[in-house]
Amino acid sequence: MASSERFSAIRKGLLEFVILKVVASDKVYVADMLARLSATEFTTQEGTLYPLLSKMRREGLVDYEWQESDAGPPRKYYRLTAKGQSQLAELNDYWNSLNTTLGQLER
Amino acid sequence: MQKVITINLNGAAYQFDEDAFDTLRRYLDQARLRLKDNPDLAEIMTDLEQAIGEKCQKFLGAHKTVVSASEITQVLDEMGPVDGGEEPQSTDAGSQPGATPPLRDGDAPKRLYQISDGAIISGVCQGIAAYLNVDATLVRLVFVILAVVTKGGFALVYLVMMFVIPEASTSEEHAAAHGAPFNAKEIVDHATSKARSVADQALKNPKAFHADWRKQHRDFRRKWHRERRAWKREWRQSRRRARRWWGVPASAAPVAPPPVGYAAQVTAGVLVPVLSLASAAVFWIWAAAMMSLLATGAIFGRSLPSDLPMWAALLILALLFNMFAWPLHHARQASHAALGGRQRYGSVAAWDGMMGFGFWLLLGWAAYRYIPEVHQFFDNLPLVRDNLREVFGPLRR
Repeated sequence: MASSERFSAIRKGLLEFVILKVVASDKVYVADMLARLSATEFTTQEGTLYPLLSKMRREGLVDYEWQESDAGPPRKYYRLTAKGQSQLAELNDYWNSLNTTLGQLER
Repeated sequence: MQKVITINLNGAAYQFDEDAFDTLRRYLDQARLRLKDNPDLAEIMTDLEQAIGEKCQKFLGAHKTVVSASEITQVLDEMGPVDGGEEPQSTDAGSQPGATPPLRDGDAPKRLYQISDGAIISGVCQGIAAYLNVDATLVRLVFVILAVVTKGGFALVYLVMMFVIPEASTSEEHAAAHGAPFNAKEIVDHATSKARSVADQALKNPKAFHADWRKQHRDFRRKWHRERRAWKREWRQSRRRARRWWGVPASAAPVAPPPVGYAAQVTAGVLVPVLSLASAAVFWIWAAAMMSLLATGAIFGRSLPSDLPMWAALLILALLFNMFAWPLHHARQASHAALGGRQRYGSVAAWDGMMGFGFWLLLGWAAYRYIPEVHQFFDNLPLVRDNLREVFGPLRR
């Protein structure tokens, strides 16, 4: 718990990257995203996710479409845009290079 | 037992306990505040409302239709605090999602504010009432009694508080002051119309009053009604402009001030506190004089001329008060308008209403005490009330 508190800044910085990964895998609804993330270190909440998604949509990384749901009103299903996909690829590369750097520093 | 409030969360109706409603309102107010610079504010708020609604569904069923305070707290814990985005939020104990303590009833800081919305003088009593979670009328009563007991000394305390205690202007400050906006104006209005209907009935007694007097009264009433209607329209409009989805107090979203010259604004800025002080002073002097007259039969130790009856003295006192108070009110109102103080118009009008109410109360009391027919009439009042209820009962909603 103590370490998870201490590294919260790292997770916060990575959240957008994580969301890009989650959205890339499938068309997802916010509740699905939260459910998938709840099992990981990146547990997050609506209060954080909605503002983040709206920011990413403004930046053209993700987009959503309305889909009817069997229970309740239609839901927003998010997917990556072309720009989002290239951003994700870039981030993946960057993450790998970071890992390499970290590995080299250990020696 | 709790009052239930029906609210609309993104198109679906939900029923909330009063406490639950307050908690939710605080959460959404805070969310709105944090997102105020976000271009997608409306959309995010809709999403949040939708999510809250869905989470509330879990608690509801065929035999459970109202969301309670503990349930909404649980829901909002799950929602987490709304992230304002890039702007540094580091002050509130780490803005990491999940690590930030969720907003709860007791967590919101409670501070003493003046609440000018619906205030009588400046909102000090309302602020104290909100802080102590008691009725503002009670606080006012305590203030008046203390002022009388200390021979006006306590009025100074009020004046000091008026300058020292900050005024709640944003909705967050309102939430910090207490939450639900308490509306003294409605009470004053209610009391005024009640007193008026009583007075109306008394005045309809043809034996007691000269026909000329009645005509004068009718004219006055018509004028008063007209003014009151215009004022109500004004009030409703300003409320509507201020309202987003809650009944946000009008002061939370000030109406654009009319263009006024700089010099006029400076003058008005100087005049408003001076006139307010003068108004308050006149009121307290009057109240103290009334009390001393009623308690000792003399005004500040000076006894009345022997041929002047008590009721006439009271009437003269009331008229004197109005003579001083009315011009002060109008000047104050004009200065407020020059400052663009539209949102405080209500307090000035409420003060006027209060004075009108006091005047009628006094008149009624004097009539009751010294005119036997009126006395008789008041004793028969329960009968009149029952009759009225029979007549007007079906007309009410």
